[in-house]
Amino acid sequence: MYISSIFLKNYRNYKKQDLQLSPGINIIQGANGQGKSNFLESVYNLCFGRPFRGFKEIDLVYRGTPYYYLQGTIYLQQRCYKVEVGYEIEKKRKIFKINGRKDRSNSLAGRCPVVFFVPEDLELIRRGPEERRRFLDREISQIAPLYGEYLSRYNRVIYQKNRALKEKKLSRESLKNLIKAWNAQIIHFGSRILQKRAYYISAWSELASRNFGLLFENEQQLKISYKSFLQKDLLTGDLSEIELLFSIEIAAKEEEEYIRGFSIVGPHRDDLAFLINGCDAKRFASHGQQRSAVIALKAAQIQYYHQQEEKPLFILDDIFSELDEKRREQCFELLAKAEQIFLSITKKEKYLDPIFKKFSCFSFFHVQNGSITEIKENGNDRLFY
Amino acid sequence: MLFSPSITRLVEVFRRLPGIGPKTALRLTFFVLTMKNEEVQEMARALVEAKKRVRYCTRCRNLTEDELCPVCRDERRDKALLCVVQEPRDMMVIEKTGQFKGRYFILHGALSPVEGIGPDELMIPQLLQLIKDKKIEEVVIATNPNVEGDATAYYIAGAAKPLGVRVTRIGFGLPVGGDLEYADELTMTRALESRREM
Ligand SMILES: Nc1ncnc2c1ncn2[C@@H]1O[C@H](COP(=O)(O)OP(=O)(O)OP(=O)(O)O)[C@@H](O)[C@H]1O
Ligand SMILES: [Mg+2]
Ligand SMILES: [Zn+2]
Repeated sequence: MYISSIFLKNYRNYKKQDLQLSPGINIIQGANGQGKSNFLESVYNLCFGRPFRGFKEIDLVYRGTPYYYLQGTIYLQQRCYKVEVGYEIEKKRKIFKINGRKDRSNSLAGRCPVVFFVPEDLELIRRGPEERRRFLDREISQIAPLYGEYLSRYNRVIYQKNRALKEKKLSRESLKNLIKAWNAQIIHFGSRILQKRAYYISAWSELASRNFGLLFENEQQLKISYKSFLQKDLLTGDLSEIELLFSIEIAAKEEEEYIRGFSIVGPHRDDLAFLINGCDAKRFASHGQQRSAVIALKAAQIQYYHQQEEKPLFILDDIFSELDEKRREQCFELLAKAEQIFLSITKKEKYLDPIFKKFSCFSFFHVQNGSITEIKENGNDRLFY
Repeated sequence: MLFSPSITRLVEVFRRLPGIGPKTALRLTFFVLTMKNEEVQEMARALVEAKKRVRYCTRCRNLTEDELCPVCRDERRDKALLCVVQEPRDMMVIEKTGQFKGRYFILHGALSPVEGIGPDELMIPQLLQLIKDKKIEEVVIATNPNVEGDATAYYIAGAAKPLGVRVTRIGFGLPVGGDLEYADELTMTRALESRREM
């Protein structure tokens, strides 16, 4: 997958910007606060039709203007899509069009292989379980078309059931039946969520273990696994078996749920576990080990996409300045597995040379105060140097 | 203030209607002011009269001006067949097909604890009583295919089955006249799940 051009109008600190992009690597260089992240996030927004990681639409609109609008040309599975995304503040109106047609069901969902890597991701292991679930849910909805739908329905059911559990005026019998009605859907959607999570974590885990081994000359091992309330190998066995076990589990905790007044059984309480040399990385690993484990996982995501028919798009927001030489090298190698790369840097550093040598097809952009200019090559000698 | 108090008040009143934003409310207000006196009076009367006369059918909770609605009064209807819908307009959609020969029960909503809507608010006890009293043989549930509608269907099924009645749910299919290619994946999945023997 790659994006050949993008147009930004009133987006963050960009008033109006039209860019032709390289199908290879695109480097965006600029000092702090000039608009690098804003630009990279617009690429994400275009692919998924929604703001990057929980930002609000209204905050994306250039302050003092009434709307933002993005347009781009995406090449995916040998087809070309003209995508338009926008938001109008006053009418609270969201626009998402593909090839000129309104697209309500988001037909690109689950089809765009995009891996976004920002420095804060490196802290994934240190953070709380809800942060890791958010990571899982976000990444899986990108690959598995129905996952996002299941998830939003599941969350809605949990929200309703939590409220029902606090109901005081119903008889115990009615309440029991009412909770059962919500549980039916918790089991239905929850089992599908469990199955997908288990599948992707297992696929990534294998690749991540190898990557981690390479980083530490095989002297250290990483294992990533899904820590679920359901004590079962979720990879084997079919959906009806998972549903059955889920319903047994939920029945066993029924009383406890009434007492505590909220849903305690389900994938909304699960976690992603990182084990380094057999120990829980959150509790025992060094900061460097934890960050390396995340890199190994990010790398695995790229490799996983690479194994599929469609090569991914890789977006790195100022990540290299955060890494030491060894980890940088591993990331450099990954770049070759992507179809198109967006990379932001604050300034050119010596350690970036291998990247510039490796890619013949690249564009270099300079961003200053919400305005991007392409720096063109000049004969053999790139102006950039 | 830009407009006189009466205009502002009318705009506010229109804005309470569903689907009407500030601009439309203002347009309606100006339009009403250009109408003839008699027309405006008739409009006001119609609102008051409708509100005064229309009530729920005591059997099915359809909107009616009598004790029983026309469907409940119609003796040719299949008395053993009952269709449960969320809203009066859902009933109208089914009626238009002319395919359903039974009677209805209208919930006027779906289970939604966060909005304080439980079984009692939907008159589900009354529905169960009706099933018992009128010797209903089959209950067809036609609530919306979303989280709340599904929970409601499940709840009613659970409460009705012990009464010895057959409970069915209308199938979820693909829109007629649409291309398979354009069906969203969730619709397709549900259509597959509710497939049937041919
Ligand atoms: N809605 C908006 N309207 C106008 N300007 C905005 C808006 N949102 C953010 N900005 C501006 O964009 C700038 C930040 O841009 P961005 O985060 O892309 O910087 P950056 O180049 O990634 O910097 P760093 O190197 O520090 O990460 C800030 O100056 C901020 O005030
Ligand atoms: Mg930034
Ligand atoms: Zn009636």
